[in-house]
Amino acid sequence: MKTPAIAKLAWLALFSIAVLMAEGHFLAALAAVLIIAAFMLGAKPGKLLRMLLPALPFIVVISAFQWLFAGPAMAALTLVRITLLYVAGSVVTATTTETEFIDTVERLLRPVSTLTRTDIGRDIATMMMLAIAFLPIIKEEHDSIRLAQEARGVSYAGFRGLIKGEIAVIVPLIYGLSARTDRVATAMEARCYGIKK
Amino acid sequence: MSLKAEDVSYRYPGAGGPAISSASLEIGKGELVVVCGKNGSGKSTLIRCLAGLIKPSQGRVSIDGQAPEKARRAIGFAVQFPERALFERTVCDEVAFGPRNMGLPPDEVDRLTGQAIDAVGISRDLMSVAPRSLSYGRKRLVAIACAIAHRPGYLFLDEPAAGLDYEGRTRITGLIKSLKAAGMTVIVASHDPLDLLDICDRLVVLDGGRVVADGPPSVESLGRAGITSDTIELARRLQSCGINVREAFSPEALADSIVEALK
Amino acid sequence: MIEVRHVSLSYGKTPALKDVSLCVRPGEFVAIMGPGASGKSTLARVMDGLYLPDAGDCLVDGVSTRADPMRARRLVGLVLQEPDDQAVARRVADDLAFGPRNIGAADIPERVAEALLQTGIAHLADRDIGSLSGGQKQLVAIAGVLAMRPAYLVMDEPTSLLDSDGKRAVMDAVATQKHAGRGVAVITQDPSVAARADRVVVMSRGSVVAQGPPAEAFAKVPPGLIGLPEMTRLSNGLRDRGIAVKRLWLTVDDAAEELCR
Repeated sequence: MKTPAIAKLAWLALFSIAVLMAEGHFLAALAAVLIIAAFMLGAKPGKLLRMLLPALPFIVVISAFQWLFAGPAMAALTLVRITLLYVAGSVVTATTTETEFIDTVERLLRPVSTLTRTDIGRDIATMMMLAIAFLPIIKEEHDSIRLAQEARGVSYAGFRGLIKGEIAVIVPLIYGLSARTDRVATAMEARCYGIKK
Repeated sequence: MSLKAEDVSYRYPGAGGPAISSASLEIGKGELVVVCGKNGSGKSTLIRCLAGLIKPSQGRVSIDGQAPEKARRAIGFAVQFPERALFERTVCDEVAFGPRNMGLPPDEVDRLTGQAIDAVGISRDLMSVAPRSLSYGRKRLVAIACAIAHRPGYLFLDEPAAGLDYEGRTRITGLIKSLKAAGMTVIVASHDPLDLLDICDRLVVLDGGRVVADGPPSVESLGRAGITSDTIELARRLQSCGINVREAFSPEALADSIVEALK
Repeated sequence: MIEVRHVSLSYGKTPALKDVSLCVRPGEFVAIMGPGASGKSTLARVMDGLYLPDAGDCLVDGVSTRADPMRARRLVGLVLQEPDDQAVARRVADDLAFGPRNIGAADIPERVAEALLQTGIAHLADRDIGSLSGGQKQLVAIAGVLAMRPAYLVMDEPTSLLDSDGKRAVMDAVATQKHAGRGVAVITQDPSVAARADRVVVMSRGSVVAQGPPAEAFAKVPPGLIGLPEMTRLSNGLRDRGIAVKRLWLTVDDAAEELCR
């Protein structure tokens, strides 16, 4: 049985509020709720762990600051809260496909679309999908342009080198991304994006 | 004087397996070496390691006996997509960028820039044109001019002919030939090296990050890269029906061999 | 049938197409060759209804793209050169659903499943597109347009960035679609791709300079304009070396047949 995306989003909202309000034993209870939810939604523990690992350093740094300014108890509380929120978010994203997610966003925005007599709900949903697909590409493009410039003797050593070097990256990056946007737009148009139903 | 890689491995951060595993290679002065293999076999990674653009996770690279970071001037590198490298306002500034980075005096920079532009066969009339407005094939030539402007001893070209039309490919092949004739050591990574087989000294084949063949190009080593061609196939068929032709990679070379065999 | 009739088109003052006529019939594989900037990509976009001609007309199954460009985009699936620029989602199946959703199809899951089967990538349905090889990404792009159930496929240099494995996979997909009765037009710089076509159209500076079955088109084309298939180069080379060759060769079989006698 597949849980509808909207139910998962609603659960995530309620769970997040509960985590932010709860303390002590209640948090332990919420952790139990999270484990049960992950099990019921069929999220794979391995995948959740892989999603959590890159975020761990940030969670630790934030908690360390809490320790400095608010003491160990607050730091521990922050650590547990952020981890719970992050894993809860991961459970929902790991078990929801983009199509389901986009459909839900579109449905939630349908009143706005009807009211304005446009396709705005669908457009926002499509843009969200594109943003998800594009973020890793921008990073990849940035890194390969930087390598190309290093190959021409640009040094990234020191603060001035970094600033000068990044300028040599940003120009091709902007051109590259705008050319790419054109090509993606052509591909989307060719697949009938923008046809009125 | 040579470029040496000993037991080089490289693993991209976060990747499952290594992109290159224990590759050893020695490239002598003046050689033309083609590194080939399927997409994802590690060609780009290997030449980036050899050029010192990325540091091997294991093993070491030395360029004329020095560590790569100390031998930056000996290296020229043209990446696959020229639009990633080009950013200056004019072709002239673009090509002069490398020599200027090396801190050379202005008249020396001008001389090197002019020579590089002549070497790749771009008209000097284009020197004041914006590189971005050029055709794809010309952009590729400008990018190569940038890579050779400071007169490196070793030139690396990553997929120099990919995406070019017939004229562009022919020009690139001719350019590689003339750079070799001028004494430059050229290392080319290519998934489709057929055009270069008649002029290259060595073919290095990668498969899954390992060097599986290294030597003069042969039908066998090409097979290891998953590369075959109509010419190779026909030579085999002719041999099996009694026409004694030599191993050939280009139809023109095979034509010569057929003429000989039929005499 | 896609009929391009005396089409001219300019970008501002630069002419891209000058009086171009050609057709693609159902079940036919047409290769379009020519140097860079000869108007090939523009032609692909005219056939798909993305660009409307300044003069002349393009008809898809009898209806002008000018009268109904959206119908042309539905009937003609366009596949582009860069595998990375055609994906709009991260998961393969989500990407395939994009086209059918745009045309308001009711049977999206069926269309997605069908397109995955036709391109032989059903096992990749749940994969992240970013983790696929170039050839696999290009198959996803082909599946993405097949999910719209087009009658024709137009591909703009679909193999130029792929290795030998990727090229083989895309060419297999072309053969499958041709046999399923779809008309396929492939723009290519690769003579080995064009050698397999039913017809080759050669363009230069916005005009068609040669057109016909491959052997005929390759014989007519001005020298140095496009690359020729290896076996064609061989038969030309033998002629130049004074060996009589009966006809122009395209395949290894052509050459072996004549030489082994």
